[in-house]
Amino acid sequence: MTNDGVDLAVFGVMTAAFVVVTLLLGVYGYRNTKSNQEFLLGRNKAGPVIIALSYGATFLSASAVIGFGGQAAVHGMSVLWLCFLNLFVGLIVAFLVFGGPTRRKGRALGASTYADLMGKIYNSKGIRAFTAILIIVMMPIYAAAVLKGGVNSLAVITGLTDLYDLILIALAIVVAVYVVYGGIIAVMYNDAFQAAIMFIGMVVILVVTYGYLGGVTAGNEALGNLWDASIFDTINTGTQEGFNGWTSFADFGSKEWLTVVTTFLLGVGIGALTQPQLAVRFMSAKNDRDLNKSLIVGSIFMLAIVGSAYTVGALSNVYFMNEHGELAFQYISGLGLGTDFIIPQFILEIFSGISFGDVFVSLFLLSLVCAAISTISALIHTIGAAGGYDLYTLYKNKKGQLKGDSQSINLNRIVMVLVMVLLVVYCYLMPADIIAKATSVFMGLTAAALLPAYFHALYSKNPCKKAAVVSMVVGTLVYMFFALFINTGTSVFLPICEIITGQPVLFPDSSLASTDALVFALPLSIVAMAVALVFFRYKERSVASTESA
Amino acid sequence: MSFFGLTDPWIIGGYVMSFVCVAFCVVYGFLSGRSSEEEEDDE
Repeated sequence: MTNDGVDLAVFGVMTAAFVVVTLLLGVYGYRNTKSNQEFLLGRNKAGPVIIALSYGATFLSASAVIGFGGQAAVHGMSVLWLCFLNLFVGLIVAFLVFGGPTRRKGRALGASTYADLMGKIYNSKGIRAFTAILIIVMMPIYAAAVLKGGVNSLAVITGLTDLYDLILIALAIVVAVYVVYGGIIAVMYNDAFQAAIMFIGMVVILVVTYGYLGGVTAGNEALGNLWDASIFDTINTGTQEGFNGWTSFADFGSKEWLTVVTTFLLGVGIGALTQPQLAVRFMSAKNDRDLNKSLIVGSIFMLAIVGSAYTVGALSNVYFMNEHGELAFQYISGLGLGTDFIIPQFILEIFSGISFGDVFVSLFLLSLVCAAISTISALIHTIGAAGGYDLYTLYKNKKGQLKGDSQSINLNRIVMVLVMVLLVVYCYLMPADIIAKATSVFMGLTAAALLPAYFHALYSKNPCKKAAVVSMVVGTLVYMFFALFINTGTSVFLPICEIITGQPVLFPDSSLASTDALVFALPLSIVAMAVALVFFRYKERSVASTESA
Repeated sequence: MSFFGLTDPWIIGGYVMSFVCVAFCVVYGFLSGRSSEEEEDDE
């Protein structure tokens, strides 16, 4: 990758200014944090705009921009349906169906974290522990993938690959400092600041891309004209059977269709509903009206970021074909890089030679950094709270040394520092090019394990603890089985199937291998919840009638 | 039929539905903020 378009002096100045503002917001958070609950939740400390931008920036990580932007370059504008799902499920359904009840129940029960909320609604220490452990075990994989993706792109684009270790550690330290000292208030205000940078960066990129292509219609037509079915015979497009070009949806039921629809669209779209780090944003709101008002800014922000990333990703094929005579996937593969580098490479090239190009490239790099750390900061805070607050409270309660919840801010801070160290270690252990898939796995697993129980918790007057446990266990086990033994995309994370059977998945040639685990795990988790509810309610009524008789 | 150079109804639908969602959020957010029957702060 060439770094001709990056003026390191410009980028250095912009980064220095960014770090100063970030740390100042950390100080602001520190000064406004007087109790553990303020450290964890910051209730009433943020208005609708801060909630909207914080929710959006946390939701949309570097994964959305470079991970799924790269996937749009390969799979085309079909990925735009993920933009719709992000908006409809991740925003409208999340805020209107889950947001209000989460906020009201959280406040009524005095819950400070997602695991705390689930535990208190079900009056179950086991459910609180399960949720906290799920967060501690699975969330670091997602967080490390986001961190690794951000640092990788930054190092490669700037040409500072020799300084990879330094960039990784510097980024980790900046995030750790403001999260550990400033708590959720610093996290949310920094999210909003970072969201503003992301918004400007992505809108500029969209405008410049269509400008290069001669306008919206001309650009889209040029992309449509690239496709010729015979292209499969000569070029590795990175797609599967059923692909119909970058401006057409894949054939229904084909391998390409299954990959796009089940992994990218459903896995990430539905998984957004059960993100613990996002549920905390609902619990931070002063009232339901603020939540509803935050939809205005949140929706515009989300459309600008993901709509731009996916559109630009697909259109990059026209640019690379014009400039290099190759498709995006071909060109980036030829450079020895993965799909996560398509968007960064495209930005680097398209801005070279235009006025203020170095400023725009630096702005994009900063947007990338913002997208990564806004998500990482929220994840570290959530993982740290799951360990330093939820599990510690349960441990002390069990020992009889504490009644009620832990009030120790310092313990949360210590756990958050440890989590940050763990993430840095993970970055060295994880395979490359997995941002989009790691995101999909984390969101898919949390949806399969928690969505039915979360919905039941919010809408039932008498939540059934046993039914929730059945649903969580079934959702988790089924998801893990399909992710590790059936789906080729996710089995790479832990190649147990290959170790046992000698092949990566059980049915490598069937369409099941392209189908995301969520497609099986979530319906089964819902069915398990429904069946268990009927069974346990019937049992309760039988016991009650026997006793009254 | 061509919509800004796009012809596949599924792709056009993806864009249109995204903008419909944003329009809904903006209208709902404004109406919700102006409603006189809003809840009071919980504090």
